[in-house]
Amino acid sequence: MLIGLGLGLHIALSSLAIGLVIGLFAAFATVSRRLWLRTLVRVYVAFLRNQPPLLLIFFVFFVLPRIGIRFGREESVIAALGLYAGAQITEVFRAALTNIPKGISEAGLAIGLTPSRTNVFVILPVMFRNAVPALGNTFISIFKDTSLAAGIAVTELTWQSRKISTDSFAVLESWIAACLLYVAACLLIAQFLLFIERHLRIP
Amino acid sequence: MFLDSLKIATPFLWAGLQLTVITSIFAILIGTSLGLLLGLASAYGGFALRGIVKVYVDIIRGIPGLVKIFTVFYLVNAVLADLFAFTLSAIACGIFALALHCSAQVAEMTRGAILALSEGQNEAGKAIGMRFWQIQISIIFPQAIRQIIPTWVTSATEIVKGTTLLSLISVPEFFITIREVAARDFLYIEFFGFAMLVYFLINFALELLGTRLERHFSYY
Repeated sequence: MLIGLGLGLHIALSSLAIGLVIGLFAAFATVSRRLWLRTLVRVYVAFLRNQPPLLLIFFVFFVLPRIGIRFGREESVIAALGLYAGAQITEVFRAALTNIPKGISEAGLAIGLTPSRTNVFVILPVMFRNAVPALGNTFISIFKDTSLAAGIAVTELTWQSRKISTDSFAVLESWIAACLLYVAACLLIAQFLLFIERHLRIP
Repeated sequence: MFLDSLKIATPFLWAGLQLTVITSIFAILIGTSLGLLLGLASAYGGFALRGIVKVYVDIIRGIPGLVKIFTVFYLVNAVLADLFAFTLSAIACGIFALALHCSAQVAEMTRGAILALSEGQNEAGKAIGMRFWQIQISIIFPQAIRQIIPTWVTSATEIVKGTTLLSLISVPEFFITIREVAARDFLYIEFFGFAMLVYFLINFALELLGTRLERHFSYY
């Protein structure tokens, strides 16, 4: 079961990484001057955010191979949750971006940085620190969504406990243990995130 | 090709969709009423009551939806079968598990919304001689609901998404019927795309309804 928990964390972290990359580009696209780019991102976010994650996982694992894109079990989950997280993180970053006062980017331009350098060196760090609390929530919800990987027989915690409960009829023990492990993991992650948050808070 | 098999499968899919909508509505209604009570308890209750609600909310929110559904389906049923020799159906288990999820979310937002209102609101009610429930219904509730609605709509869409998990304990809801039809006619891309569109439309409609309600309740 602990191995399953570790696998769940691994999947969650990988999906978060994909989601962060998507979210970063998509959030800057929402403030871009090109209309088609903004529309594209808006459609992506509205569509993906409203999809059940289980459907996305099944889509990547069972449907994409039919058009020649083949993933393993774990990779399917990571890809699906990454896309799902990408939509949520886009929203998080967009909110963080619009909260930055205009003076900050003007300050960057005033000391002679080019617009793209202002974005990378001035805006990006501030935006990231603004976004940390909401990112933490997103991470916890992705971690909980990794339990859906049991639906396509990835051997993470939920699948393991289901297997134990049906193999050995230790129904009570296995499910109580699974619940306790998930709650403990979530509380620990939340505490850790709180620590990071306090560390990175903008004074 | 796709349209033909969609036409043939329509009654089947329609039954699944109805079940999805009904389970969502039941889960949201039960969860919201339980959550409102818990939220009130943790906003006004004493030390012990607050502690109990906090532990409940933390535990329920820490367990992923699927694990909750499996736990209710396997564990609660095993206990019920032992004690009273009867078991809940898969649908009842699903509704129960989703309602638990919803209740924890609603309890948390109710507590937050009530505590965000100033103490003066309560005192004003007491000063003109209102009883506790009168204050809640005619002073606190109209103000708190504005705060609650946006997050409440998000949890409602989460419940709708959560109904897909019931397919894993073989409740014949929309997603499982889609999978069966897609496998039978070998039209995976078409039917999965169709399912995505349907879930998108349901949740998008909920979001629009939420914005309407929000506007409706912000008349002060």
